[in-house]
Amino acid sequence: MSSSQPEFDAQFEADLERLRDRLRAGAAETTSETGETDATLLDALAEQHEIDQSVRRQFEAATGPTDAQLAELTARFAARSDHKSSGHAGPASGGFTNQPRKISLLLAVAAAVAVAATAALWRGQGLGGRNEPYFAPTPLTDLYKQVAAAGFEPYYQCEDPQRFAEVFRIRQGVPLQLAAMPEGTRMLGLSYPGGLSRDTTAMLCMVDGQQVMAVVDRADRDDATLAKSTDALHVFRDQRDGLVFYEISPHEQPRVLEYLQPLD
Amino acid sequence: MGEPPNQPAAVPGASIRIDDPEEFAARYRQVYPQMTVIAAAIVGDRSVADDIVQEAALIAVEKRNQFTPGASFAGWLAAIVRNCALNYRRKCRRRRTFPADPAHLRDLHGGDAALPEAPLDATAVAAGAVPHEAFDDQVHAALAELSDEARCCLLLRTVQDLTYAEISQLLDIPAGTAMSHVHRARSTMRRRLADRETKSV
Repeated sequence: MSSSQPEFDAQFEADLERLRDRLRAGAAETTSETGETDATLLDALAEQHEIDQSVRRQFEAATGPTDAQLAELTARFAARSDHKSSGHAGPASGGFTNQPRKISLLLAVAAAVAVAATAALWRGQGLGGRNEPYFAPTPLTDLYKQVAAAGFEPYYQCEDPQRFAEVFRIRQGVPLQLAAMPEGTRMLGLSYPGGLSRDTTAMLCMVDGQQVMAVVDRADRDDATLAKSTDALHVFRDQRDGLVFYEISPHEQPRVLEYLQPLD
Repeated sequence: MGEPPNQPAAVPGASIRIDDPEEFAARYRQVYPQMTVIAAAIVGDRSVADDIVQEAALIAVEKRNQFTPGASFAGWLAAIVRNCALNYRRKCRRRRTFPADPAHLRDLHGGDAALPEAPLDATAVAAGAVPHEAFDDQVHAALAELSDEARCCLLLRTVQDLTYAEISQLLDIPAGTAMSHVHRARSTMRRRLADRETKSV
């Protein structure tokens, strides 16, 4: 290669774009027609062409959703419309029926039974296997709602990094520090509302004006059945350093967990 | 080199009302292929992308009152798709399942020599001397080493043939960033694949 790497890359991309245009226009699939004479460039173009073909083979997208997918979507739309139009017994606009709503209700009841059964099972194991005080695990979104209903007030407004680390060292066995958070994100303090175990530690935050709760516990206390997102609340999970971290938040992305780090 | 990076994009699904089920379904149909590419790029598996996109669409219906009128429908749905795909990937990691990919099987077998190291030579692949599957495995592995954002940009550009302005609007990143992701990803992949070729010889 006679030119520098940046020059080569720029030439490569220019030629690749030309080649793409030619192929799109139905020209022959040969790199030699680009007019370039640099053998290295031609080799790279040929190689890139094969890579692109492979990527297309592996990730070729469907042309559109299936009829079943569209029907499901339409049904969901109708179900939501039914929720909104109280007292309207007939089908919603577009000839929708109430069937999806009934299914949703059945699913909700089934989910509630499953959660109750899981909780009962957990309690049974706890009482039978370990002689510990009674503790009922709580689904994390319920935990969030309980804390929010109580005013989203932290039990401990911790401003001392050493005390902060010590809380996690005592309760979870790993001292944690809180890295500098970006503008719009603020830690209110710590709470101990239970959740995964009686030792679960919660950190309450405000992120862009909305309440966000991070909960931390030992990884062996983790229970995925308690960590289900709902329509309004997302539950994000991370696991590192023998700890499991959850963030319960109305935001679409986790905004807090990355700032909880082991103490150096 | 392609279109100017900051050219205004006309992504399908921009500036619409989504209260009407038929309008919503029409827009969904229009952006569906792009959404499946985004989902597949994040989870690295085309086969589950349709389910992830459908899940995202159902969430979008639930949250349609949060859609800002005049905003890009495609960009809004893409954000939900990304979130669903990330959740799916987290769940898979928690399950600790092992993909039946030859490269991964080799890891599972502790580098068992009975599982052949597929040779990589783009020209040999083109000439039909090397099965596509072997080459695809290596391309797949090289893709996995890219960042999520770079992989999304590369696949949207390569599979969907989107302009950088369109990618920019879908992923909510500057068009210049999308372009440099694609360029760097291509260069990185060629280099990685060449390295593997050298090692396997």
